[in-house]
Amino acid sequence: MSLSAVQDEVIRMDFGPITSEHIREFAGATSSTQFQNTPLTFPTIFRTTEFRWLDRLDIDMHQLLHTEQEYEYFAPLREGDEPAIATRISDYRERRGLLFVTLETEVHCGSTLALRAYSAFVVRQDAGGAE
Amino acid sequence: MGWTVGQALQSLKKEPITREQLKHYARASGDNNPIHLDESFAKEAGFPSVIVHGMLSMAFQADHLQLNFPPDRYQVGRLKTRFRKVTYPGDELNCEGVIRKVKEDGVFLVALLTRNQNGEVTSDGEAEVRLQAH
Repeated sequence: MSLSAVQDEVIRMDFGPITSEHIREFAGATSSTQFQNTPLTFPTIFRTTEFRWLDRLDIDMHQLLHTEQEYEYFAPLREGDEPAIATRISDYRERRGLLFVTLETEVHCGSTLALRAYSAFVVRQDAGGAE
Repeated sequence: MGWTVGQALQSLKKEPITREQLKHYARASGDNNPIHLDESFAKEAGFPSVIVHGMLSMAFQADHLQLNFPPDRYQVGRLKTRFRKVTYPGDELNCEGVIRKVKEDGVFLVALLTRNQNGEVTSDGEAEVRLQAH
C-alpha cells in the first residue's frame, strides 16, 4: 500500500465529557502529581483512533513498536470538555524491510484546537527492538 | 527560579514498575495491546516478558518536567519523547533533564532523558516551556 492510497482518510471519534474519574484514574495509573486540569500525556486516552488506524493498515500488533510521541499543546484540556478527535496518516513508508508509520491527531474542544499529537511506529519484520 | 543553560533539572526516581501497574495503566489509558499484558503474546513477539508501555514512561517524564516547571507558573508548549530501549516490569526509571536553551521570548528548551537502573537510556526527548504571563 502507498501513502497516497490513504492520506486523505481521517478516522474520527467524539469523546464524551472528560470526567474527574478519567483524570483521577489516569493520574493514579501514572503516579502523576504535578499537573493542572489534566496530566500532559492524558490525551493518550484518545488513542482509539490510532488503534483503528493500525487495524485499518492491517498491522500485526506482535511487530508494532511505538518509537516516538510528540504533543503540541495549544489550550488546556479540562474536566467537562468533550473532545473531537481526528487522526490521519502523515507518513507511511517501507525501508529495509521495516514499515514506518506516523499518525497525526488533532484534538478540538468546540472550535478550539487543544493539541496536536504525533505518534510514530515501526513495524518490524523480525523480533526485538524498542518500545 | 531563573533557569540557565546547562543547568540540570531536579531528577525524579520512580519505584520499580510492576505488572499490576501495567494493568492499571492499560485500564486508564485504553492501551490494551497484549504485548504489555500477556506474557505469551510478548514472548511470541520476541521479548522475554511483557514490556512497559512507552507512554507510561513518557508520563513519568512529563511529571518530572512539571515538578521542575510547576504548572501554575509555566506552560508546556511541546513535549517529545523517543523510545530508545525496552523497559520491563521491575525496572526502576530515573528521569533527568537539562536546560538546553533560553530563548529571548522567554521559552526554555529542555532536554529530557530517562535511564533504567543500569544507567541505560530508555528514552530521550525535549520540551518547550514558557513562563506564564500573569
